[in-house]
Amino acid sequence: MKPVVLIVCTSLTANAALLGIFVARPTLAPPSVRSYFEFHSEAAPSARAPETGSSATTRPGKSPSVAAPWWQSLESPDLTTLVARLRAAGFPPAILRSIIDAEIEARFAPRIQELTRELNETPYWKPDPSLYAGNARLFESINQIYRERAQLLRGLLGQDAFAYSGVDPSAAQQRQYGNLSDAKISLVQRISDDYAEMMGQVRTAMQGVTLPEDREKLALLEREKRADLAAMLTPAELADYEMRSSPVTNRLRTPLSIMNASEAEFRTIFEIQRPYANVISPGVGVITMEMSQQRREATAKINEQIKAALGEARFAQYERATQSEFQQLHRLASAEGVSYDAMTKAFEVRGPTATASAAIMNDRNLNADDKRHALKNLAQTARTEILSTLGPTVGPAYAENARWLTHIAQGGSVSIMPDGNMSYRMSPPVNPAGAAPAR
Amino acid sequence: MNLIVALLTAVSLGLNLVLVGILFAGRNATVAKSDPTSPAATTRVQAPPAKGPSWTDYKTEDLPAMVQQLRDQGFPSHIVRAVAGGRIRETYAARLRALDPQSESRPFWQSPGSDVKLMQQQRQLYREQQQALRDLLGPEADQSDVNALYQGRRFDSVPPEKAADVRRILRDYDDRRSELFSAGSFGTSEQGRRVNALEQEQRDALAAVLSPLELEAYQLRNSDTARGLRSQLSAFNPSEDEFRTLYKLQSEYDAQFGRLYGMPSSEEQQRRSAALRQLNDQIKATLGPVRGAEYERANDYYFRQTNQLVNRLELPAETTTQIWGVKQDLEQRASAIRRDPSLPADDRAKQLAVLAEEASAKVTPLLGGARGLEAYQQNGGSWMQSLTPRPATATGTTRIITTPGR
Repeated sequence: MKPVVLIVCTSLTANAALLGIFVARPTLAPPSVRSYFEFHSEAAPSARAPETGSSATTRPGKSPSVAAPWWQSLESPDLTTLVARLRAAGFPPAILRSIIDAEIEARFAPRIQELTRELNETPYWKPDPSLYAGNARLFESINQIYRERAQLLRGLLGQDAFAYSGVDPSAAQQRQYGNLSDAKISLVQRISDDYAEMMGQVRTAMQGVTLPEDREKLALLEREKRADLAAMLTPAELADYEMRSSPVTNRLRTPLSIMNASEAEFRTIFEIQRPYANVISPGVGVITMEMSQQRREATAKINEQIKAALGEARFAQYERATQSEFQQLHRLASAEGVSYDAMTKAFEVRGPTATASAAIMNDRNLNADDKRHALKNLAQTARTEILSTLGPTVGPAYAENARWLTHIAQGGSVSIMPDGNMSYRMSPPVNPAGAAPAR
Repeated sequence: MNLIVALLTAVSLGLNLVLVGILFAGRNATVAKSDPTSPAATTRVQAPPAKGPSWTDYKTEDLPAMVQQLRDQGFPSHIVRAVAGGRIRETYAARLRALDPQSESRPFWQSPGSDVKLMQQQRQLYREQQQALRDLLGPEADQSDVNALYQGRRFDSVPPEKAADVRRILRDYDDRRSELFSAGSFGTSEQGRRVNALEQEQRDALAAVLSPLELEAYQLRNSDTARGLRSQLSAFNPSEDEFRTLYKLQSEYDAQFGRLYGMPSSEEQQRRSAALRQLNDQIKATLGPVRGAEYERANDYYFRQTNQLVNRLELPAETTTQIWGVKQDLEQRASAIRRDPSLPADDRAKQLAVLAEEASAKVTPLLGGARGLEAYQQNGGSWMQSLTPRPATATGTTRIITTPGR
């Protein structure tokens, strides 16, 4: 065969092969020429229109079995292209977000399935590998997937990533980031994700046991994260962002909602609390007696400053609202329409009753039986007052769960410490030696 | 002829170049977009307008018709689910906003979390949305890899043809349980009675769907008893037979006493403690002396904590047992000292202090030095502090417990 004929044959074969590839996978071509190869996509609308015979907007009829359905002209292995096509096709932000989120989830499916397989293949008689059993490695794997998904979603959709049906995206973003520009929000998110990943790795390696060096590593990462944020935000922006994202704010949200704190009050309380954040909430590991002592001292100092700043009356409301027992009472009583004054009155039964119980316990003129009898009576009086104040639904529920009240009724005394913690005294010991605790 | 061949060659080679060029341009475009988290990707890409239909063609209030249209148009099921879910959320958006008009204006330092009624109403609307999605899509509504991950072992023993029924029952009882706990974290005995009754009802409902063997397999994987047992036995490494034996005994105890809510009376506490001692004796007798002793040790919270620490410090596995031996020995000797009425208080305190020093001297090398000891004192080693006598109080024997107030 002549060389020229060989060249022509090879060249024609290559052309046929390349054209075949582009027809089979138009996405291999750049977007500007892709439509030349998308023969199927163009067939869909023309095939559909005659079938419905009326405006699809008002009454979409069942489409015929089309050779090239609409999705083929929208789908793309490249998510950026998919987003652009969906936007061009008029999908509103909330639906767009739903679709892209689902598509991202589908792309993470192999990783999720691998984790599920690991769970399912663990024999049922072996320690539970599930998410609910403190499995740090699995927990971090899941968190990592969620972080990557969120990053991808934000990268693809920008502000539309906040578009969740029924929610104003700008309000959601404002609540979280204040008045930061979109570019700065993107950087803040990236920094937060990077450090969340590094901290996640430290926590995974801990295997449920916190060593002193773990705390140091986490503290170092926190400092570095703050330095990175400080490098790209102005001091005012950093202060505002920290105020919105701080664990201190998270911890204070419930009490501040109960006392309906104003912005000025919140800022005052936040600034007083912030220097003690790591003492009040050490974050990871066991709380030692020494740490508890430091927390008590810090709480006393914080309360002193807040009282001076807010005044006696508002401080009393703040202090009550920080007590977990009052928070529970508030949830229960609010649902039943009990007034705030009644909640306060019932809660205030605790202090004088505790003081009286300690006085009985320390009274050297009473023998053990007399003390038990007096304490039982004291508890009964307190219970009656609580029931009459809170009513027949909330009263019994609160009284039954007020551990201090049950303890006094059983012949013990209670002391409330300045930080709100309670100490219980019982004489003689209740459990015989070696008795197993109840499950 | 030669001219025709030459022309054909030139045209064909030119087309070769064009097509290869398109291929490379396409690849570069894909590579450039393959990191959608890059800053470039966050800018909106102008795709060529999609030819054909637009969203407005399909935005109908008739959601079943919309779903059918999307399916006909080749939308994969996860995308149909996403679009349908988005549309359903839109239809509920106004009602959700009406429940909490402040949701978008609420200051960032406040939360709606303390409003139990609002939470209940919101939960109810979310449930309605999920039901609407199920009504619209059927079983497709629940197909999600993430759901499968969170379901854990719930379905791995359930025959596929019964999975939908089991899923419906679990959903129903999960909803009823969450309603019971919706008013804060109060755990009253009445609440406990209702939760335990719900557990029994759920079990009966499952028994109506599953055969006795299937139900047993389900319970061995998913019941509270099985979950509690797996956690309790993490350092025991039971065989399947041992686990089944322990499960049977433990479930009899749980059936009698149920889960504990609120503060039990002292009589109830004593009853539970006596039954628990009896259960432990039964278990040890069933397992035999060697495994029975290992069970007792592995069942101890402090042993499990020590085991966890030993793993974390990458020490030999036998270290846990060695430390346990030191603990048992010293605690027995400490107990004898405390019980000896002939010892003056000062001597008792001195002897206990010597024991505390001995404990530290024996445990420290086992844990690889001071770093290990410091970690142990916070993870399973609190018994060492208890060796040191407590200061006497005004009322003599006193038990002090502190509970967090916040």
